[in-house]
Amino acid sequence: MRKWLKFVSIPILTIIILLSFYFYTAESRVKGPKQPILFSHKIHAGDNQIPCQYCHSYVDISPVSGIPSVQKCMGCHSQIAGKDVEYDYDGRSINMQQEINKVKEYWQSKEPIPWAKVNRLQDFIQFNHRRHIRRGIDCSTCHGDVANMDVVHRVHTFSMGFCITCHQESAEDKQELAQLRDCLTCHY
Amino acid sequence: MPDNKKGGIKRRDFLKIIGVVGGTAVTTAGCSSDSVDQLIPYVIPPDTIIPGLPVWYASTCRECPAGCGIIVKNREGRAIKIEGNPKSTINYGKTCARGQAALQGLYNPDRIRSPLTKQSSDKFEPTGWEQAEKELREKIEELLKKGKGDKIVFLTNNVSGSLNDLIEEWMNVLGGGRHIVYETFAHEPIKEANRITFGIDAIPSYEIENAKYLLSFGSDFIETWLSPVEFANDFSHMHSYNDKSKSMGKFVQIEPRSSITASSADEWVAIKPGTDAVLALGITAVILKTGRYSISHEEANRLEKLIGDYNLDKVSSITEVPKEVIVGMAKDFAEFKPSLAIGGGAAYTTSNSTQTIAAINILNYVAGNIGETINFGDILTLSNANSFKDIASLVNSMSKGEVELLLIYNVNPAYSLPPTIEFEEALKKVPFVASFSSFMDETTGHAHVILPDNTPLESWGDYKPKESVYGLIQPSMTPVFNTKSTGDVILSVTKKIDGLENHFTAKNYYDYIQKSWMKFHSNFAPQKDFGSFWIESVENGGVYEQIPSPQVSLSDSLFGIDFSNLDPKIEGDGDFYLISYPSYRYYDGRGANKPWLQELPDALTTAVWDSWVEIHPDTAKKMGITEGDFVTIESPYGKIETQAYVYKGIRPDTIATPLGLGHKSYGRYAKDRGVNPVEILPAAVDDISGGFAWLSTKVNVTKTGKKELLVRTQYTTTQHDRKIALATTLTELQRHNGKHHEKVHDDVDLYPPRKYPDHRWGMSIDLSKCTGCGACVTACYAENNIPFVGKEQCAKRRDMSWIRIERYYEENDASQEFNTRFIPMLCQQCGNAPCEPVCPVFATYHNPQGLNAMIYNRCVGTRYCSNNCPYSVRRFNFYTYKWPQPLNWQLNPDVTVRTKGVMEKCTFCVQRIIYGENQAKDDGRKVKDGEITPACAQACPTEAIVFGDLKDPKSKVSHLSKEDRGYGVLAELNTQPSITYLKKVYWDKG
Repeated sequence: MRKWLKFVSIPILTIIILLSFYFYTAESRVKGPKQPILFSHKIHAGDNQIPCQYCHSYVDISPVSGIPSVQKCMGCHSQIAGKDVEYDYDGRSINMQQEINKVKEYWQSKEPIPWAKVNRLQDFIQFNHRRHIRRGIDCSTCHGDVANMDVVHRVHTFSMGFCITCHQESAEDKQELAQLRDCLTCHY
Repeated sequence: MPDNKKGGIKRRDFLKIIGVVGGTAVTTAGCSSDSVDQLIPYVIPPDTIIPGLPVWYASTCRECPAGCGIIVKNREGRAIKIEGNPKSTINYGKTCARGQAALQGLYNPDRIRSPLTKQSSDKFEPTGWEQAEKELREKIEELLKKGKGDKIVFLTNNVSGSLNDLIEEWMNVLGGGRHIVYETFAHEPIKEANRITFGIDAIPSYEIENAKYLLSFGSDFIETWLSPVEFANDFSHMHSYNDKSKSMGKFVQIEPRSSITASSADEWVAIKPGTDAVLALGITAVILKTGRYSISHEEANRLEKLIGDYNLDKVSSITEVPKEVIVGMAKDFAEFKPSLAIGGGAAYTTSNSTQTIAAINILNYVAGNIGETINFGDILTLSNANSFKDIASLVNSMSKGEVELLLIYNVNPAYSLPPTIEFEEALKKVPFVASFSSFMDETTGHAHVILPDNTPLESWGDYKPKESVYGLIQPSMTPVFNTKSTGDVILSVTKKIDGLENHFTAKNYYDYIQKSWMKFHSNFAPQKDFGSFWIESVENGGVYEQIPSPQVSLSDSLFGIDFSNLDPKIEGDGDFYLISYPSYRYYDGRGANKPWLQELPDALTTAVWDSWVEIHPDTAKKMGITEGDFVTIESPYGKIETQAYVYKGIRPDTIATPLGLGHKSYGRYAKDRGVNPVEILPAAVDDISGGFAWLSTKVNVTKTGKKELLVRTQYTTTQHDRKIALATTLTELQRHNGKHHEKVHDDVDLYPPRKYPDHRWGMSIDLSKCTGCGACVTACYAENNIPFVGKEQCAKRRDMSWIRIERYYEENDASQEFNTRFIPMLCQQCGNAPCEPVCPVFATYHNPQGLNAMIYNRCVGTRYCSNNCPYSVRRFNFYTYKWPQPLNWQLNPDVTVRTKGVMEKCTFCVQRIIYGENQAKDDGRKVKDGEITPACAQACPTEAIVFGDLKDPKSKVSHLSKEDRGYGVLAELNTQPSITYLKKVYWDKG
């Protein structure tokens, strides 16, 4: 019995672990989390060339970039109703008008849109968007080519190696290198 | 171990498999994107909030009558930190511990969350605002119909400005109801004595800053007296050692016990309780006799006659103050110009209090201090408070059924009045009691309807602490609970009363305040329109004026005062005088529900979360009492039981216990904690002013036999000959003249010196300025998300404070001198830190800016660093501490909340350093000196703590750390601390 159990359990466990990693990575890297509205960054930032900062307007003044208010969405979508056509949303067929109508519903009921967070940093990391944007670092460096993504998903895992590699490579001098490698720069 | 049956599964294996499977499930679930948080945007973004950035709102602190200006930091719609408003002419940007802790009143989990009404049962039921207001309105209408409007009493704490006007007007229009102002500490003798001496019935502004010699009769001006932050700041300018002129002012405290205020004195005179008037007259007599007075001969003669035969021998024998000390004080008082004598606290607690202050007034007058250090133009609004006698007569009329409706606002007389006055019984005889309290305290429990007010941090308002200051109160966030500003309640109730619908023209209370500010707008800024004047006032937290002192002369009524019999009326046959003194942590008890204040160690005893009674070691020895023994304190009016603290800084015939604890309700942190000494006091008064006589009965002390640890944060009282809190004398400093600086280990080191490419952050702490007030400690709790752990954990030495006030008693056996030294102790950010090399995981290391960094997420909790720290400033999280809702709303989002198993410590508020650096970087400049201040330095009322860049030779901290008095604590260990302490300086004796 014991041998049998060991014999069976090891492959089962391996499969469970592999599967969960597959789903985990598949969910986040490929599809991104499930969002309340099938919003396409590609249409906004790509096709229509809306600058990132039009919606994420605090990114150069605050540690956080800011998520547009429903009011901001309606600023355009009170005029733009969207075509009543099917759209290939990352391999899935959706109706554009229907999705835009969802925004209007939120606006009418004065409810916020509960977006799911795509990128999450742990609480012990004090990341500052402002510093990075003012340094001239492009949004895509960390967030990937959002302009070509219908569904925004994680491009980098934001583990410390990702941050530190960039910090080390971009430091201008020794002094800055010392600061950019200092743990206290992000952890306090 | 017996072998398994064939085919069976071993328990161990089963657990292993379950563990692995379960662990995998948990891990993968943790990683799955389904658990990812939501991002909730605004529907319509508020103009004032930018996520991630703070907004500051100027307002006025209402934790005590001083009315300090504050600025409240708001992040994402929540108030998270209070700092002093630098524009305020009261506190100059500083705060006290109570001011810092106002946030825990705002977010207190025991706040009344909605209007409550008591129906037939004795239980409160939540109700809506409409219903609660209706109940109050119907009662008022009923009284109006019967023509009993004059049977309404509105009992408030000291309100001034618009709320005072509104209440007065409302009482008036309701048919002559009364507005009575009750303050536990109303300082009645000052008012009355000023009326008698100078014909001014008010509390003046004392300008301690201008005095060169300060003689304080019992007044605890650093702790609670009148305006403690203002006075502490003034005192620090007056008394701290000036390195350039090599001089400082002198301060003598006359008090039966060595209070925190007395700890900052150059000399503590342990006077016999209740004899301050005699001493003041004695000193005056010496000045008059030696001809050192600054008044005309005629006046001098007249006053000499008034004083009578208080000669040196008589005064010395009554007051038990040695003759040479009296002569010395008289000499100094007359020669240092200007000087200042103040009387308060322990000096006016007896039946002769008004005479005491009158005698002190004469002393000031004789030395020519009126107008120099006492400003009768800038009087305090606390002068408007009713006397204790008035309150007693209100209670009397309540018990006679002469009060039909009692409205109670921000006072808790059921707790703070002595039980012999029978306030609670009288309260039960009032047919309808409405309370506006935010907390269910002893008084509020008796109300019929509770209409909870917003806290001052959530409402509009104004408060005028003194003539020269018009403070505005601005909401720093939307109300946490379903509460409503009392001003608005008054207006909306009145608008529905028949016949009074149109009495108030203001739409709401905000409108009312604006209208009343329109009245004096033209006085201040006639060139500006009201709109811009208002905006400017709101931004500045109010309007500040300068009011010069008017000419003041002696009033004839002074010469009618009788100084011949100054024996205080003390009843009871006990052995001890009982001094019950206001606590700088709880004030009159209103601070007791705030865990930050409960966990702030009392500066003298370092006790937390409980009461104690101070007993002199000789007395204790005689009675066989040691520290922690429970003793009974018994007066003819009752007894209380608390733990003994053996304290050399008190007279052997006196015991002392702080006020503010011993609540029967008032929330989870206050209830059933400590004792309330008021419970054993009779309702005796000062004969002339009608102020409460806190000292009117002698008490007996008996040992109960029970003993427990008196929970404290520092059990040692001496420095054990180590050089921790050092002091020097003025002549010593003048003699050495620059060659005093003690240098240790500046050349011998095996390692190359550290390089600091940019900044080296450092600090200097001036012990001649530190008063031990603890503002830094509470500010640190607020800024850095430090958990409070409670009494039980404190008893296990697990208190989490990153900065603490160490206190050491210095006793000179030969001269019987006693004094206390305070030293704020925090991480020294050592250049050669003992904690760093012992960390096995590099969680703590030296950063390029000279900070001893502590990386929480890297820490595995070995605690080696803490073991190796000679300063004991590292704190370990034994638990994941919780903040009960909504106290957690206060947490600073810029600082990680630590969890179980993590070491933490002071970081010089690295989040504030980084914020400052970011601002500078954005502006393309270097960080300016003084731009970055850690929370402790920001709060410090005396500016003892100075922070800055040690690499910048021009910075303030660089200058200070090179002063003659500078030394590093335990620097002989070659830790190379970044903090330079400056020795405390005393005047030489004689």
